[in-house]
Amino acid sequence: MGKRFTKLMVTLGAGLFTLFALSTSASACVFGYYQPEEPKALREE
Amino acid sequence: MFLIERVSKALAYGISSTLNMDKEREEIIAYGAFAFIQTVWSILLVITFGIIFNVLVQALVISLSISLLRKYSGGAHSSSPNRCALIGAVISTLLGILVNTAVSFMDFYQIALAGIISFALSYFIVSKLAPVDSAAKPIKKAETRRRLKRKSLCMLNLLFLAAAVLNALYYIYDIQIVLACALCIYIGVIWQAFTLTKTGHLMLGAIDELFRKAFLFMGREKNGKKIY
Repeated sequence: MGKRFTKLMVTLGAGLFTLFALSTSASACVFGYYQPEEPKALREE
Repeated sequence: MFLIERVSKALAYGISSTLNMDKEREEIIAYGAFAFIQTVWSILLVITFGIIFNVLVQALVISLSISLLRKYSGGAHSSSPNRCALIGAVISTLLGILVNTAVSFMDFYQIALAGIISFALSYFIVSKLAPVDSAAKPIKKAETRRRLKRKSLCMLNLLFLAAAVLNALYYIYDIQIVLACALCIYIGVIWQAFTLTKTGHLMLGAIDELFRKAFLFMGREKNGKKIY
């Protein structure tokens, strides 16, 4: 039960962070005044 | 490496090893975690400063207007995530205080005129300069540039509509905070448009340098490197 709950939370976290990464990648910059380097997989060549 | 970067990388490592993901996916999750933590941290700082200086609603509306437009138009950047959050919170709070002072001596028509001027200038600057990219996230494709410019102008339209609704609500119900929120949108929009210009870049660079020196003075950085 505990393990399944942990895995569910980790999966939800992965989904949320991926969504944030894709949303940030599709825009010009992040929320604030600092822009971290974009990962290669999301960079447009 | 900055604290937020370390935390987001640790989170991504934990998630990817639990779910057996590859390195590429881990990098994407770390990037998303960074964006998430940075957003939450920035909002929390705006709320804290807003409560301290009694301009919570104003600071939040200004910060939201700036961020919504900034997402597509880009603009000047700070060189550290902590300074970035702090600069954002300080600017939103200072502009919130300015709005509070302005609504006490400006009438409805003067504020509406300020709104027209602010949006006219912003439309001009955004249509000329947006999107403004950065070294960390260059925008190379012409199609992406066109798409971001289109979205920046759409966002300006949305903010204009929101301000118009707030003006109408004030006209009907005569609630002061509603008029202050409309003025917050005007100020947020013009500030964000200003950060797209060369002068805006220079000014934000100077503010960033000022904060860097203050951090150095307080002992949070040594020889340009973070020590926490």
